[in-house]
Amino acid sequence: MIKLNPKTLLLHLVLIIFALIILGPMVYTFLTSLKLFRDIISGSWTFEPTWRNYEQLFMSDRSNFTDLTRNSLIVGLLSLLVVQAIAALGAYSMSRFRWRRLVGSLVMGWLLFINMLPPIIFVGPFFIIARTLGFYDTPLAITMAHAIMNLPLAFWMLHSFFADIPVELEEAAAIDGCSRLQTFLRIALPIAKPGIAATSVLVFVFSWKEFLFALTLSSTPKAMTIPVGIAAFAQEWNIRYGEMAAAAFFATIPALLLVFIAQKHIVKGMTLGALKG
Amino acid sequence: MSLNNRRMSRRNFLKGAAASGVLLASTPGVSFAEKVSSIHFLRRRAQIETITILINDSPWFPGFEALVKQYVETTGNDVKLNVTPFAGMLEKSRNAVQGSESEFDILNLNEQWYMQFYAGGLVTPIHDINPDFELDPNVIEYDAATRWDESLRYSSPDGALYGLPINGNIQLFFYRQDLFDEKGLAAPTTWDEVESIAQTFHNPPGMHGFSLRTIGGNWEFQAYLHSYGTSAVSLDLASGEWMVGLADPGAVEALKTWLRLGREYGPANINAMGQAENLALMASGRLAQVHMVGAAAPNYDNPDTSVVVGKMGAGVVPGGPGGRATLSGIWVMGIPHNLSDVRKASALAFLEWALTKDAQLYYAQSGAIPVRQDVYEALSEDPKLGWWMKAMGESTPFIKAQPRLAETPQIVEVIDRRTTQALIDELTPEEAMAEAAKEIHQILVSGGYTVKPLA
Amino acid sequence: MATTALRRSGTGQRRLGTFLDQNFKYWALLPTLLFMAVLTLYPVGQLLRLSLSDAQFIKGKLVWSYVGLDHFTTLSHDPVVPDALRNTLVFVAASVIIEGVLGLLLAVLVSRVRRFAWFYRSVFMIPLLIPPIAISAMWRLMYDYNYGIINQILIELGATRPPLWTADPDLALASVVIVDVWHWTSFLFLIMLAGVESLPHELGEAARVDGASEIQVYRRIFLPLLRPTIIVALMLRTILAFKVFDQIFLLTGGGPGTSSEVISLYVYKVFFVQGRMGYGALLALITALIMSVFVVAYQWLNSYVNKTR
Repeated sequence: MIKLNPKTLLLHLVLIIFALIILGPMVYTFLTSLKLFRDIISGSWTFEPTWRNYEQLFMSDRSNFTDLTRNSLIVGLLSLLVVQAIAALGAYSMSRFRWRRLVGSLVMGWLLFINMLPPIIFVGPFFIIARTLGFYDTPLAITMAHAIMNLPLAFWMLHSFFADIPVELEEAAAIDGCSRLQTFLRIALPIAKPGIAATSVLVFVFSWKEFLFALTLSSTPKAMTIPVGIAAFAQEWNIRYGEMAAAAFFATIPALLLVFIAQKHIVKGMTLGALKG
Repeated sequence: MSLNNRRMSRRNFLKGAAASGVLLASTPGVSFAEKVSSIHFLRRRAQIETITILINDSPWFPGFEALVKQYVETTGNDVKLNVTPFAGMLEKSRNAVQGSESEFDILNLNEQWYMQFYAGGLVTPIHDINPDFELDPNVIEYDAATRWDESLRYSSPDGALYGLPINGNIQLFFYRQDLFDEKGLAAPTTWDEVESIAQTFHNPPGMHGFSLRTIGGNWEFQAYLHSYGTSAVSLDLASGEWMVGLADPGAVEALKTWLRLGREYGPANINAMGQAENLALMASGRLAQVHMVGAAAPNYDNPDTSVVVGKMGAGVVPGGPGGRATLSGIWVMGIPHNLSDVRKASALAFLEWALTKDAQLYYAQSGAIPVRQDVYEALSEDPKLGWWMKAMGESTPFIKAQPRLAETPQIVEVIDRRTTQALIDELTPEEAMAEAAKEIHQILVSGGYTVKPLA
Repeated sequence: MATTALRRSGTGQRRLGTFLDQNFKYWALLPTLLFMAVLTLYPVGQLLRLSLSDAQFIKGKLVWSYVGLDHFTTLSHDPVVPDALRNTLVFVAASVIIEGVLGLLLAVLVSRVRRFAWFYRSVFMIPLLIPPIAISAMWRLMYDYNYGIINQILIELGATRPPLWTADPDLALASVVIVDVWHWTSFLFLIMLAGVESLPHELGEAARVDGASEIQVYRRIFLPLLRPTIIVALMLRTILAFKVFDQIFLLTGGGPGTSSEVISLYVYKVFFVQGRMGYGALLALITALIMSVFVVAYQWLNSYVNKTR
């Protein structure tokens, strides 16, 4: 039997209340997504659940939500690849080789600086660049924006992962005649795999969540991502509450999965900026 | 009668062409005159090409799609639709008219955009395509939304015809016919009547007498301005000067009426009512009267979204000392300048057909908003649509347009902001209108217009 | 002849290879630097130029016209900017303070439970991973005056005039702060939890043995030890809070009136809704300048705290 210490019980009670505050809105949104519009606005507590909103979202030929889901995935994965390729090389160089102190702090500081500036500053110029180069309203435009937005985070995370790898293995490889590039590819990268996975998870999630760049760099479902689609449900003169709820709930599913799969990595990534400096 | 009877369909033409080819080859005895006539026939028929229409996805799209199907079936001419969400329309339309040859044969242009396309000559004047074109007087022109006057650099009834209306969306006054009948009330014609009826029904939170749109409400507010004899900005046709009407005393009166109706008879969250919120309030049976976009009507008839099916009535937007007004929020179709003559003619052929009475009747039955007066009148007794089609027809004489300027987004932002500031008591009505007038004056001056100084 | 040539080119390749290998650290960093330069320095240059110009897309090309300091004049007359600045500051201050207190509280509570700690930790993390626009959509449904669950519950509890939330000019900003707290408390919780878990708990034990009460232990011993973590976390969150856009975009759109207008939303409206790219660029530039001060202060503070830690 579990001993019921009143103090512990109180502690759990408080924590459960907070947990309910977190889970409540998600449950409510899910329930709303099972209602017809008529039932949403009638304000009654009981209703007949229906999958109509999800059908509207994914099956209706009037809906482009599957396109948006595809775009979100493309943008997420593509920006992930770009960011990882650039950041892994850079972070490896930064963490493994001797750089002058000034160079080091300049690069790291610059990255952090960009990460912290509000993205609204870059939105206008990115829009102009994308328009001028003719890739406005393509997933590529949003990918580039997400890549630049996530590069600092990936760089910082990978930097700390590479720094944790013992140097001895690489030294042994160098003695065996491996070039530096080979050492990087064959020794450092495989060892840093968990770190790269963790970084990838976060970069993908941040891209999946992002709204402002996706909003301003797209104008059609050719490039629009899920968050832009969710916002669009509320922008029309007839708010489609039910579909909005269904789309919002759908967009939280990756978060729910990742919390249980990759919790440790997420914590590391999220708190890195505050704990390292 | 209608055009489709005169013109042979493409399918029939192909049959005919094949037949005449056979005839030409197999019967040497055919006369020269007959040969010539069949060749001539062949050339004339070839003038109809497949056209591509750029159209937005919207509540009225299914109706338009049905109309196009009907066209293809009755005429045999092919039509492709490029369906784009609203957000991408302006962009695509602009791109189309900038290239060497437009991708689309017909552009669907919004109330806020068409002037840019007329002014730059980016769409073709209809009479350049067919000098004999006559616009049926039954087709509504929505305060010259179809025209552009080169000398005024603005639209005027004397301007050249550049676009043809396709979606006749205007504001209507919606009310609960069932409740009105119980009390023996008729649709109000003035804001004062709106108020006294609102008083009768107002019993929150279960029932509200009236509601306003206060999020992005400038479009509806402009009807109040007109009903007090003024408008946001207007062009003096004689002097060519722009005037800011918000500085008029009428504007303050209009705002006071708007505020009073909203505050006294609106829902508690009157400060945050958008179109959707008003629609939802009415559809949930908690609102007696509202002044809103006419396109909302079908939503009230849908049992999935409404508990007031069959209980609704509609009328012309009520007025004040300056008369009545309903603002237009229509779409017109234009034919890009960068098209071959054949493509232009093919595009016009579709539009001519689409504006015929029969086509418009079918269009309305398919869920879209027609643009012909005789169609509204014909449908006014329709068991399903009559309740609002009648009101649409009665509204025609009162149609007003909002300013058709490149600066309109800035101007309406000022109106929205200042009216809500009055609503939340940050400013008095006098201050709100005076400040708005100052800002709009400044916008016009910076835009390089000749503006009458504020008093 | 042929073999010599071959050998020579082989040596050349090898030399190049050696050269590349010796300079690996430079070219490995190069993509990062190039990417950052192109996508950050160039935009800033664009902003500077735009803020002195009017620009318009004509036939897919940007056509510039120099207007000098016109946009500064516009700025001096713009009635929205002061409101937006004030709201931004109020929003940031309120949300950071509330999130800081709650985050610390939750961190302390979770650090004291053995069972189900993983569960609480997981649940408290979820909001950070949900798209903010989805969060806003959820809260928009809940805040709805007529149909939302919040007021439905309040009415069930006997409220006769439930709050208007986003429709009340005095509550609109607070409503957005509530959503922000729901969303971002997790972030401070995670940072604080890392700090709390690294506390020397034997010190607390010793104090308890000496008769210190639980509150005294936390106030006198742990709080001073946590101070660097708290300062850095709050500073970081302050900077991130200035980015607020999504929630306000969907929940209030800045209204009623300008009662919840913030600077990033206003820049967006000017640039994209009203199409005034030049003036929008000036506003963005000013935002960048203000934020730079904060970021530099944070970086200095952070490295200072790290040194003393």
